[in-house]
Amino acid sequence: MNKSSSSSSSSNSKSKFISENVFKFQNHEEFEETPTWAAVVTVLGYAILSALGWLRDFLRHIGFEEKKTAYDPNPKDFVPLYQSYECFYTRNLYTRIRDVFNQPIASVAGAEVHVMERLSDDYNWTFKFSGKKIPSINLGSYNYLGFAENQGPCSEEAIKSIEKYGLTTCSTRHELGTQQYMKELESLMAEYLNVEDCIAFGMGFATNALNIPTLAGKGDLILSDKLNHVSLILGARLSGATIRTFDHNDVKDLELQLHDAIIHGQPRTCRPWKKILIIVEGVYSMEGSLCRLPEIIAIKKKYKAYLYVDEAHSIGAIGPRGRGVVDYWKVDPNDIDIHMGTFTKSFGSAGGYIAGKKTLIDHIRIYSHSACYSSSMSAPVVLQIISALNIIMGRDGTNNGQKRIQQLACNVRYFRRQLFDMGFIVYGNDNSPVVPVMIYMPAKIAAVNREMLKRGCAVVTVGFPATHLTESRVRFCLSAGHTKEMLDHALRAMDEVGHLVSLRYSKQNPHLRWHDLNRADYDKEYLSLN
Amino acid sequence: MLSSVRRFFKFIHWLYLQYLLNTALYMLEPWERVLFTTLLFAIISTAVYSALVFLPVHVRSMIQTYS
Repeated sequence: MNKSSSSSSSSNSKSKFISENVFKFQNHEEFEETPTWAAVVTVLGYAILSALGWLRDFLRHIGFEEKKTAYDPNPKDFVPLYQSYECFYTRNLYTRIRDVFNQPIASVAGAEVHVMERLSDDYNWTFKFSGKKIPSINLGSYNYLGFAENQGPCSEEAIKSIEKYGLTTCSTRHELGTQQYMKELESLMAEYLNVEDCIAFGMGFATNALNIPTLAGKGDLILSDKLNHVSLILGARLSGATIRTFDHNDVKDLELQLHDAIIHGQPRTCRPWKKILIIVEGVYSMEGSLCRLPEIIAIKKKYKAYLYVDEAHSIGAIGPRGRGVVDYWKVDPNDIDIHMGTFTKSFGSAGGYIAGKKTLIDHIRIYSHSACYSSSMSAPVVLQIISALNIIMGRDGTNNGQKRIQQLACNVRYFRRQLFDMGFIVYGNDNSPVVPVMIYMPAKIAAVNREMLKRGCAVVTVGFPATHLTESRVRFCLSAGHTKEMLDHALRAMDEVGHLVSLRYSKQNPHLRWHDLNRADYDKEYLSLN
Repeated sequence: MLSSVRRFFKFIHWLYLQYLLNTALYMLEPWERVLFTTLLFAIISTAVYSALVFLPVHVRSMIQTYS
């Protein structure tokens, strides 16, 4: 890649030249295989924990130890309300390391956050706040473009809107709930995505769960990726259509399933399907992988199916102009039938949208459960999105938005490259702002989180129900608000923690310490645009 | 000299931490750690003792049968 720091003088052409090089299309995705010894040790660890869990349950049952969980106070002779009021996993495995999950914070969750310190006397059954606030770099918030701040143009717009519109319309969209700002938001979003029309809802999860039933019903087929988000699965189940899954990002498996479905028809009657809907996500938040959009579009056109793309994590964060996976792969937006996304991640607000052709959006406006029954979006939330959109699209006259997008891309490449070269197993695409690093063993989940917090980095570590039993990981979410010093601090901390906890599992790359890496290479690649 | 002794103790501490992390004892209470370590020590010491006492006799009788 050209080192463009010696390029032209005027700032306009410099940023153009930089943007061409920064976004040279390198699409490399990798999921290194789990080393066998790590899988064996992880399973052994869970076996030891289960055995000791049974011992503790037995002690609690005979009354030797007091029961600290909630128990079902059902009166005598009544059928019990719950089978086991708090299940085995939660009692014995989750509670032991509960202090690393659900950590309360005490400040704006921007690039830096204050985490409240909690102390426990009885091994995490009860907590006490010590009152101390730990200032740390925020590597866990989905704050991709850095709009989660309490100062600046966006928050001023939001405050002014409260004075003008109040906080709520106290009504649903179908009744008196469509304010002027909703129309402005929807037309702005449709222009941003280069589609005909758009509709916005108050909650991102509900956008998926309550609108898929309007699009599919009994007699339809939904083909969804194995690693789709729970909101998509819930929406698909609620619709009553037949659901089949295909392997993650595996286009050949999708084609095989489509082929079989069209030939054999519906399960018992063998009638043809009324419609087939393929549901994929733009960026998968637990893997960091991008969907293979051009190939899926080719298949969809060949077999005449419909495509639903959920761009919750990719809108604003992926692509040279921040327009999501559509922009990244440079496909025609009209090829995707239903664009869906959320405002929670890159725009620093709350809510979701669905965009597409005008006939589709008109249908959703009438038949959606969410439009009909849930209350319409609140004024400061919408004005925050509108001002963020204006900044990203460059309508406020500065190139602040483009700078944020480029800063995010630089941060992502810098951070990922160094973690990869140090010998950690990092999943996903080189361009995705979600960076999962594998830590397989259950005890290391707690160790990594506590040690990183001691060194001033607040990270999110995920374990069993959200991922496979043997594939727990620590997931870094990078932001345009992170400066190079913050990233260096985080990398140094990760290097120390990686040595302490021995997280370097990679067989392909040599295991290096941070000071072993050649700093000049990475510094040259990192183009500081501030 | 003192720094190399300190480095040695730090290395032993690191090894102990690896043992705790890989066997998931890091998340258990102290009495559970003692219980598991005692059991592990008992099993390993029984195996080592049996090997030391019985291996020479078994090996000698195997050589006698097959030669």
